[in-house]
Amino acid sequence: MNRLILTLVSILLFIYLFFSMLSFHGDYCAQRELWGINHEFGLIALHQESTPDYMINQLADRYQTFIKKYNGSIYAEQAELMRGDLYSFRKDFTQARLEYQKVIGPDKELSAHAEFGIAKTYELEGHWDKALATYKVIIQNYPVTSLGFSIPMYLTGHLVPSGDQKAYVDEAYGVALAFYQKIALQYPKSELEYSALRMIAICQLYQNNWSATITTLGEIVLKHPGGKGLQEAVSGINILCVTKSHNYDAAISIYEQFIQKYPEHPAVGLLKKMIKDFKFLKSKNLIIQMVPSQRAAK
Amino acid sequence: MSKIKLPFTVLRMAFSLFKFENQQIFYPFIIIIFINSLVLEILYFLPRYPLSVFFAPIIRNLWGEEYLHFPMDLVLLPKLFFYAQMGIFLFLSSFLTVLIVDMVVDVNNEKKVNFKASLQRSLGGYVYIFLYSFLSIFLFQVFNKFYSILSHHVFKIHSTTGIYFWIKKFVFYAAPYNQFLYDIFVTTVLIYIPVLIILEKRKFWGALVGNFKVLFGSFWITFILVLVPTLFYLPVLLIRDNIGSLTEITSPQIHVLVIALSFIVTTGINIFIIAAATMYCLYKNENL
Repeated sequence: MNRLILTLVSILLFIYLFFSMLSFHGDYCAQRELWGINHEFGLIALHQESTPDYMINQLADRYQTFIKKYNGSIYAEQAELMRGDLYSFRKDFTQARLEYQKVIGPDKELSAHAEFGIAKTYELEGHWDKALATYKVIIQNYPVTSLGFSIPMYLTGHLVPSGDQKAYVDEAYGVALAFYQKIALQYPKSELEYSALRMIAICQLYQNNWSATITTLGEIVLKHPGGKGLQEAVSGINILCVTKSHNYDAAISIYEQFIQKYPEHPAVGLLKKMIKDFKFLKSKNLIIQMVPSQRAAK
Repeated sequence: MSKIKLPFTVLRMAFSLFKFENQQIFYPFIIIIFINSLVLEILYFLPRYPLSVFFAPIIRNLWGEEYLHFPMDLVLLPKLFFYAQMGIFLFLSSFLTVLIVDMVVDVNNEKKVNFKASLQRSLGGYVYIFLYSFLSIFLFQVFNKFYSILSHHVFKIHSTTGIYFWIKKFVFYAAPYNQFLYDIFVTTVLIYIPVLIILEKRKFWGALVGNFKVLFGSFWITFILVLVPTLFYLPVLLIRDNIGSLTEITSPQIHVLVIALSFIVTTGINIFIIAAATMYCLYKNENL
């Protein structure tokens, strides 16, 4: 029996070594190694106060070794980005910016992340003007990366240390609206158009522009009938038409166009019922007002 | 012998079978573990070169690009292994597990256990064992389907207090333990089918009828025979239930170890239960 066990274990070991050797230094090994270092960084970040400096230095060295080992690969650039985050975490913003600068290159996603890192360091240092300038660079150079796309909306959340917060936010939403409208026009019939339309609706909601929001949500319904976006848009149209604009014709028109355009769509039955309900509200001239809850009233 | 003591005596006797003198009685266990390990090893290397050349497009299409990269590939691994294990169970491990019946008979007749001879003698029952395995898997799947429908309905409960709230909590949080109890019940109800196929050379339907005849009047004895060894799976179940936290503390590779631990313990339990059921059948035949 011992011989049998030994033989079978040897076979398993041989196969393990064989495949390990074939995939040695490959992408997978780099991913695993980088995950390990990032995981350690995550743990250190959780215990920021109690982490001694030498541990952070060790981590920085591990990133450096990794960058040397996988030099030229996308993983090395990701590690460089993480090194920037590490210095930023240590509040060594100048060094962090130097690390981020190394990442800026042909890869647009990574470059956008690096620029964002730089902007964030300025923000943490209290240099909002420099940070804003860098954020604008991201919007300008990487508008369709996941990060670049979200920056205009991110800027609406900035707290102005002194001055008129409302005026700043109003302007930021205006800029964001213009940005997303441009993207929606530039990339028709794409996922990007759908995301941009959603953002446009959010900006218009903030501006209390109900009729424009309903039109945008209508565009989502008519242009992107698949997926969960439809449900979200229809809910938005119903709520706004019933409680805000009281323009039942807008909802009826959108749903009728939808039924005409996609007669086989599974949502047709439900939309027909909604049209009937809106027509009923219209015929009775009923207006439903939102009643604030007692807690909200207080 | 009292009915309360009987299952524990049978379990003790079954345990005494696994001695170093009956070395070959361990062969089915070793072979099943080897095959499962081999499959696990291959699945582990699927996202990497050279296996990725063939398998990467399949994984990409079925589950998405992220499951080809560390650590998400290890999240997919238990799912892939589950499918592979079903195949292994249907075609190989159920038959190898059942070989223990013939070996127990040999030990009972004070003969030397011979794996090769047991294999040859039991080969005729392969198709019926396959049918038995198919029936077990079918019943387990029925439960899974039922439970997912139940969960879907229970999900709609919005109560935050009262009986419905507790029902919702029970259905969600006790899911692995409910499945565990159901598995014990199904195993109890079907346990004598493979025993009778090998022991009395019965065909599938004959074994199915015979199974219920043996079970009639000795359901609780059989239940204890199945329950006691299966309890050893509880720690594994606890580990599997907390795999997320474990991954956080250790490394995503813990998934591989947990899968390996799971099939090692399951195989041991299955073999032991079949051996105990065979001992009980032999005891019953001798005391008729």
